[in-house]
Amino acid sequence: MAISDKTFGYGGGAVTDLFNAFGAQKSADLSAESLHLKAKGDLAEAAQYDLASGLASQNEQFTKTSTAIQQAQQARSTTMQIGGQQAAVAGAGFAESGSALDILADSARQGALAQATLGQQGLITEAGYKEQADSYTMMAATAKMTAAGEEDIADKTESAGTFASFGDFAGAALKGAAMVATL
Amino acid sequence: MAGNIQPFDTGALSLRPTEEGINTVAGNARRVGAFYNQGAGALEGLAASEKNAFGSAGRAIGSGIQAAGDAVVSKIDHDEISHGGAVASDMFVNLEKQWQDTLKTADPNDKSVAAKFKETVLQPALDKFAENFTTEKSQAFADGIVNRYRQHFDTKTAADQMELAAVATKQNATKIINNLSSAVYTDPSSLDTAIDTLKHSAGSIVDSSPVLDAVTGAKVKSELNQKGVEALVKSAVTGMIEKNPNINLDAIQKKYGDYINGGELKMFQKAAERQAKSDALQAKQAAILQRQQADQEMHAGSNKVINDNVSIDQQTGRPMINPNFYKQTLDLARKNPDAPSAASTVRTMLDWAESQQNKELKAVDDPAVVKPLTDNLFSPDKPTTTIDLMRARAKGQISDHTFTVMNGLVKELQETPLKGPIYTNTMKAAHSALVLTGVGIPGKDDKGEQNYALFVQHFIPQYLAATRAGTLPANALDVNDPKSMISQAMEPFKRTVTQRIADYTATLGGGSTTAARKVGDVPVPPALGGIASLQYNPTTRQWRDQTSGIVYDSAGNPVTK
Repeated sequence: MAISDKTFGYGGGAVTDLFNAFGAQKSADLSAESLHLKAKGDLAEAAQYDLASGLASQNEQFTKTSTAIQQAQQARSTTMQIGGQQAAVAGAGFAESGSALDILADSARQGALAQATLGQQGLITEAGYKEQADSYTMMAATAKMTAAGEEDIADKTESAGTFASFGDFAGAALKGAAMVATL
Repeated sequence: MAGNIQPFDTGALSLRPTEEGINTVAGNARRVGAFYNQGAGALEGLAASEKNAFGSAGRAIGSGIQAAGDAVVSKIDHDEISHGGAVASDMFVNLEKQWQDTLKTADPNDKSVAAKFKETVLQPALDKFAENFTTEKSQAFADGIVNRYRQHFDTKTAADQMELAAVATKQNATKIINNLSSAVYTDPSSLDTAIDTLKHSAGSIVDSSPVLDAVTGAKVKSELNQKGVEALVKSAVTGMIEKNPNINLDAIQKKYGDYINGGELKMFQKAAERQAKSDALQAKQAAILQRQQADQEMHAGSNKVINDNVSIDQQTGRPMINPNFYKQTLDLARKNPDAPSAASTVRTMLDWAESQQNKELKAVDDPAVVKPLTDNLFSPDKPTTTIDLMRARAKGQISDHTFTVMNGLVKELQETPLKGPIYTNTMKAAHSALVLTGVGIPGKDDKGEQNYALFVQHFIPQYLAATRAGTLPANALDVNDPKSMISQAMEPFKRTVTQRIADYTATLGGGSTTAARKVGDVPVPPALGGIASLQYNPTTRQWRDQTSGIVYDSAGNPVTK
């Protein structure tokens, strides 16, 4: 073989490939690091979502307790109303029959209705908090899964970078050999 | 009473859970998540920023590295490609040369030559070349060069080897053609057989080649057949013309018209005409040559007759003639009737013999005759011969002594010729040193000419003897070196300027003022003045020529026992 334009073309190509190899490795490392950072961010976000989910669950418990309190107060109020009405009937000398009895019965029904309404409202609020907790839990799980995926992608990015740099190194070596072969 | 009793009334009592706490906690959860998400968002933002920061830095640094690297690579690309271009051109030249060198020594019929070259030379060179390139673009450049060179040499080596094989095949066939051409030239009647033989042989050579492909083989075969037969026909016609210039060229054209065109037929007609003229000229030349050969035989025969029948009396220095001399001389003329010089040679020999019988004839050297005889000793065209000496002696123009000495030189120079510009120029220089010429006043230097002739007669035997013995000094002919052989030989014959002028003017009749020559205190007889090396015996009062050994009396006459 002989020295020619190709000789130094191969030499220049080899140097270019070497730099490309270093660049590819460096770039892949940085990309992987970026993905790791994203994963960390996702995990941190997931932890916050877990925390928010816990807080929502606590609110659900708070709502249960609040509903029970309200129902207890409603029952006491109803009892006190009916008791008042009975005393009034009795004070008026009415027998607990006829209209008096209808009034007492209606009061009893209104009390029951209020009791039921309080209970249903409490359930509705509980359900809202539960949904909120579940939602945050799901977001946390999603963030964790995303982090795991990003970690995996980061690893693959590193591998891909290594492979790309290996390819560039191999290309550089082959071009170097080609250059020598032309001498 | 009863009506007056008042019951205790507490009023409406109830518990009222509050949601303040829940709401507060839930609000806290949301705020905590929001805080974490805020932090995570910041981290996500930081992650994105970190990733962007690293990516941006990496891209910036990477693109910087690539830009810097691209610049470096571009520089290396340019350097290597620039240098590689020059190297590639050198490599191409070298490879071409190596391939050509390979082809020079390759077996044309070895089909693996190209493959071996590519394996052992081309590929290693290309590999080594490609090793020098390190970048993709420069390697692409090198690959381009390598591919081009490989493709080039694939094509070239295959083509060259094919061509080499074709050339080799043609060469082999050409030998056959040449042999057959020689045969039909000698015997034109064998032309048809030769043509059949050529076609059969050429076809077999081509077909048996392991390298030639079918197309190239057919091409080579066709070329050999056409050109080969043309050569045979032309060679046969040439042979016919040479044997008989009056051949029937029309009949030849009718039978072998495919191999002779109109222009060639005209050429043959002219050749026939030239051959006719040539035959006539050759006959004439043959006659001349015959006469020349007869002359040479006459000359050789005369030498033999002289050598066999003439001897020198050591006491008198005079020639002694065997009676067979006359008969054999006359036989020479009879045996060489075609020799133009026969009559004059025989006459000269007989005149000379007759002059030897005349004891009263006391010939002295005529410088005008001795000079050309001496000069021509070294002539490559017309050297002095024994006959020339005999002719001069018969006319009384040279003495017996001069005849004897110069005849000895002629014989020695026949055995060891000294001809050519070196000897000619050297002897001219010696002549200038010994003979006064061109002085601008009337007269001639007979004494100098006489001294020069004596110098030659004295020096040449010494020189030839040293030559044969292998002891000749390198400076033997250096006339400027006073210690050389020639300078030493010239020394006894040199004269002072006064003597030379006196001798020169003496020929005008004023008499010589030169003192008589003496050996010791004894004056040399005038008849012996031409002998350079004389020894005097005071007891017998006789003189002895140290060169020839001839003994003279006090008057200068040869002493006979």
